Amino acid sequence: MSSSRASTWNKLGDAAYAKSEKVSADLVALTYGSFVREIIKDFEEPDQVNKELEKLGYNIGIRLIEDFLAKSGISNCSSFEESAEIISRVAFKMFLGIRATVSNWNSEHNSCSIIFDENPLAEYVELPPEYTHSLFYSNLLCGVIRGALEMVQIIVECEFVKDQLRGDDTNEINIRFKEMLQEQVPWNDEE
Amino acid sequence: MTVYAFYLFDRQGNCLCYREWSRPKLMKDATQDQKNTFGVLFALKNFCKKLSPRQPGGQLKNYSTDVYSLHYFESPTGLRFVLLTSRGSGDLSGVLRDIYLNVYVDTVTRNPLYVPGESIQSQLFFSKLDTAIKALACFQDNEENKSIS
Amino acid sequence: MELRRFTQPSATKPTHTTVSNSEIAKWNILDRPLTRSREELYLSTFSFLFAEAVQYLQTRVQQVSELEEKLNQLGYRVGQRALELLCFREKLNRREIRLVSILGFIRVQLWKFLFKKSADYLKKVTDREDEYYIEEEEPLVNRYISVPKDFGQLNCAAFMAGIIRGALDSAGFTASVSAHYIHREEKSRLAFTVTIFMIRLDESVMNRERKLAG
Repeated sequence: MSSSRASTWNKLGDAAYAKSEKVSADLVALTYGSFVREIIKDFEEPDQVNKELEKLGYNIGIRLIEDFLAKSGISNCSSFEESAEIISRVAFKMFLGIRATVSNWNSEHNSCSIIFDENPLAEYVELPPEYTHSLFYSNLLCGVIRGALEMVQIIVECEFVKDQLRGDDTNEINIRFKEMLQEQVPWNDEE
Repeated sequence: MTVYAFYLFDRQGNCLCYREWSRPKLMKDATQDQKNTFGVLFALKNFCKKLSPRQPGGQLKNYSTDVYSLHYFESPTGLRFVLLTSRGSGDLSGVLRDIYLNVYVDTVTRNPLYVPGESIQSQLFFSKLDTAIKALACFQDNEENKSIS
Repeated sequence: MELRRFTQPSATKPTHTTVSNSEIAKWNILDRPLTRSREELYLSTFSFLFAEAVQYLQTRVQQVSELEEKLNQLGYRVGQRALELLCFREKLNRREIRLVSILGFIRVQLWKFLFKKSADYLKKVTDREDEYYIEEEEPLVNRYISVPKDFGQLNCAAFMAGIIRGALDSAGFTASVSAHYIHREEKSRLAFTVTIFMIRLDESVMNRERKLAG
């Protein structure tokens, strides 16, 4: 990836964030906290909660991508590598006010990590001991990334590998590229 | 000049919205009409891309016949916006793009009660779409046509 | 799941006398985010989150009234924490003990803290000692909502009603709060719809209030 493209994306992210209408970050953090708590009440099992959060994130992702494309000035994401950079430089900035970095590319270039030190969703949160090593509080984000990319025909899998709420030094989401979808004819005439 | 009808399809071919203003020819079977429209556009779009001397390129924007024009805009997420007008209305694919950016995203994408893939029920979407279409220069004659006929 | 609770510096009891180890650990984490108020976030981040919460809750209820109840509960926890957080941020030591002051505090400070504006009006219901309402023409959560017919009178601002209830409760004013659409007509403009948050205070609160009034 060339540095000029990186700086273009950075600028797009900054501009999208700067010009957008804002809400209180506390409102977002508190609402997310209350929502997670509701899900924990319904599912109890941390693994199930993680799964549910990912699923709900996916539902958000398939909508949020429209907003992202409409307001960010990014017109398409043609490759996985480019998409990862756009997510970290433009989308994270636009929706979470932070810039993430992409690293840990594997040799096949089909897996990488998105790393971010600040997490506005997890502000004011402390996990009780029984959840510290099992719950990924912000697992919603994995689903958002998966859903958003699927809408532009890129199929990925995401998972948290580091989370500051568990005492890790940073937050890290691993993204693995699966396939590029080809457009299918939705039905044929003989039907 | 006149605006006849508007279609919005998702990538799977579900018709999320159909609106008509003054469409003289009545559709006997609206569902079949929508299905056909989507199918034809799907094929035409791919055909346009194949013919393009430059890749990537050859995005379908509109086509004209002796009586009407069809305008087309497709979002990167596969939403297809289609507008049927009389001839001579110019290129309206940009208008469809604006409808996507400013009407669809605000009233459908962000509406907590909208379920993706289902047909749009939002009155707000309909009224904003209506306003956008009626503001078009080529819409001005819709009313006149009505009074003549 | 506990969202962090905030220990408020109280006037009578200094906070730095005896502190247990676990409290020290809490304070260390506390210091960081609380003193540095994060900038705001994009409206859509909230809108999508809220939209998904509505969809999620909707799958778990049968009726519109239950959905509103769930939204109210979701807001309740936000209101509780928001009041604590706001008092901590603004270093407000003085607890509001009179009804009219806490309602005013919610209408102005809490509303600004969460929604970046004061609520439009706070009014007392005529002839009812224990009922007040806060009126808002365009509640933030309803910005992009267009309610389909089969949802009846659903008002997603039930979430904000819950916020009011949570904040009131954690300040010691037990109340029930509900959100309703009201059609208004004024000479100067076309008929329009506003949301009112109807606040009914608990009997115990009213008794205390009478005593305080002397």
